Amino acid sequence: MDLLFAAKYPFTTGARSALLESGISMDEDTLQSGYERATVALSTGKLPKIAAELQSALVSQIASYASARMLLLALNNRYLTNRYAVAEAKRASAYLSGESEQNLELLCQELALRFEKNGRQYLLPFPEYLRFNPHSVDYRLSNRKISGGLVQVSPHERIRIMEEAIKARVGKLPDAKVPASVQPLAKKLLLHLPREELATVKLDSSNYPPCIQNMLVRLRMSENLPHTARWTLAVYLLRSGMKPEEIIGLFKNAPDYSEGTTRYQVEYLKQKGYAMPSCVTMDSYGICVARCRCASPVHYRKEKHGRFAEATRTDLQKGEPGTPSQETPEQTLAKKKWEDAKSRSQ
Amino acid sequence: MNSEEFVQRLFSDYYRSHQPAPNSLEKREFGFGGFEKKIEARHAWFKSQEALSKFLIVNTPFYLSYSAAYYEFPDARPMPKKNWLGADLIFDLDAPAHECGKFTCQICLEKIKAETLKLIENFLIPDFGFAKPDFAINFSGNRGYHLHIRHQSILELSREERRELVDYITGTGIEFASFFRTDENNRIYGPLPTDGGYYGKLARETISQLQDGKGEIVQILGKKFEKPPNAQKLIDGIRLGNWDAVRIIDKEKKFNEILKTLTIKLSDQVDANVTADTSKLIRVPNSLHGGSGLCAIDVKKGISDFNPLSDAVVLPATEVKVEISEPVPKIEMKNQTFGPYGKDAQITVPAYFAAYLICKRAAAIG
Repeated sequence: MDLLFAAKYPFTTGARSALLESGISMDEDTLQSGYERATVALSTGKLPKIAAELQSALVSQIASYASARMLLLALNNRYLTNRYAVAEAKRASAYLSGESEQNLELLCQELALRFEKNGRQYLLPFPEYLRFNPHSVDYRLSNRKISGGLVQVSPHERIRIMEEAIKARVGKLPDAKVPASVQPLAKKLLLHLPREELATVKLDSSNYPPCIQNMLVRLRMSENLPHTARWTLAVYLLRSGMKPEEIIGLFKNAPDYSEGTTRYQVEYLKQKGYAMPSCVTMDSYGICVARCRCASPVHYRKEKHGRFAEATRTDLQKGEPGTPSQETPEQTLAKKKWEDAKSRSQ
Repeated sequence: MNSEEFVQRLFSDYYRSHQPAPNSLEKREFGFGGFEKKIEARHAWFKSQEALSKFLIVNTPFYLSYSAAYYEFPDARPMPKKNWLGADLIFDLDAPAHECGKFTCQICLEKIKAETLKLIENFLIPDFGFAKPDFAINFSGNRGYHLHIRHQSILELSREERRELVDYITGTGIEFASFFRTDENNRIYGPLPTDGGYYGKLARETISQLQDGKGEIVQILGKKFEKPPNAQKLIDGIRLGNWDAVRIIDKEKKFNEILKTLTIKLSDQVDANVTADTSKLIRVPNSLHGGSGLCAIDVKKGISDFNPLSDAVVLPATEVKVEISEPVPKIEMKNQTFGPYGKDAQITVPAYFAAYLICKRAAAIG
């Protein structure tokens, strides 16, 4: 086993077996190294590359990864796990661009990414592409060369996709029990949670359009929103009268949050006074989630209480089956009728 | 016997000899509707084909729907307790609103058939690499078609991923800038016929229409491309990626327009939400549709020869007397022409046509 490879990419099965072979146990020192790895990742959003290539140093690198994830598993906090995964993916990605083709292929195999070489480009089956592309405008399927179920990507894009797959791999914690003794150290990591809880920001989100609500929910779950989504969200919230400080508070939940960048961006947006993109533009960014038929998300409130309310109602009537929005007494009766009928027939 | 009971009895008799047999039945959630409403109840589960068949004969719903999704516990509530295991990829194509209104005319039905074919032949097969055995196509029972893809590769796609697929076929998010580049002499270089996705579609379709000397694209490009030598010169250019072999005025605008002709045009023809919704209930193939009395029949013999107003008519031809309650236009069904009928007309027609009119709320048992 190439130990250097395993230390660079500690999420691989090779790394796991190297760790087992080394006979290192999850003792206090190992846990401490994991705690340190997680602390650096969570506080700075980054992780340094390997400093020393001694065998023993490499093994401890792998061990620190494994124990960091064990600590995260003990907490099972989505924000911390995602933020940690972003840092690990960035670290791995820094190696990828200088990596040999052979090692890249090995990693792709590990990540279940079936890239095929095609001249200077690569081809990837579309379900894998959909799952792991970085979801920015450049990666929209409409602008891609796709044929026979395979999407064409450049070598650079291939690495970006690998980075996303690594992030997903690191962020997916195993379904395992953690010894109780790990808890005290793990709890210390909670310090890295965003200080302002989201709930303290007053949001009357019930009147926000579905696209904005969706972004807020995804942000709350510490998902990594693409740049265009963050941009539109900030523009919308600024226009709805929220203060920059409050908006920055919201973004604290983003796993790659950096206060400086966020503050700069939000204040820049406010200063520029950008107009809200229209629904068509939102759609082309891939962040429209419903067909609510208003020309722009800022019109949603008005539409919802006016013409739009009417339109949805008739839509529901003529539409194909869907969930009834609010059950009427007649519906309850009817439902009971079917349920009774069904229980008789089974 | 009132009209509703009449139709229900016809449905029940039909189900005695013809049972819809959905695949993986025991992993799907079912929903039923009565005369007034398509879904009155959902979260139902059938342990076997036999249980479903019995239910259809005895309780005979006007609408029968099932989940595109497969669940471990289809009848559990709320939704997360069902434990989602994956879902078919569904495309729901409906004829657009037209003056024919609720009596969908042949023209509308033909149009939506052409659109369904285009989706399969121009997108799903060449771009996504599906093969004919991967789809099941059925008439929706009213004014369109449902396409079910059950290929292993798509079962676990998320909502967002499914949405991206719909956006692709409707051409949402196409960026002109990524298709063409202009060099320092303002010359336009663009896609080759061999390229994948919209790139190749654009080049191939443009070449093919230039060869014919007619079509939407030729119209957009202008009269001078209706005839060789200009057409031939442009064709030769495009084959090498040079889209500037002949001078074209307003080229950027025109190429943009041409791109739009290639997508599945009317975006509401493919109901994007149906595809994206991974817990959607959809008509069970081969079940009867309470809004038309027609069957959501499997299109097995090939969609090009399929005629809903004949092939999806499955109820008996026994003569029945009905009274017309609102004007009915001329309708052709099973190679027989009916109507037009004025309000209050008393007519004697085959049961399948009587059921059609009753389901459309245009007649009552006389």
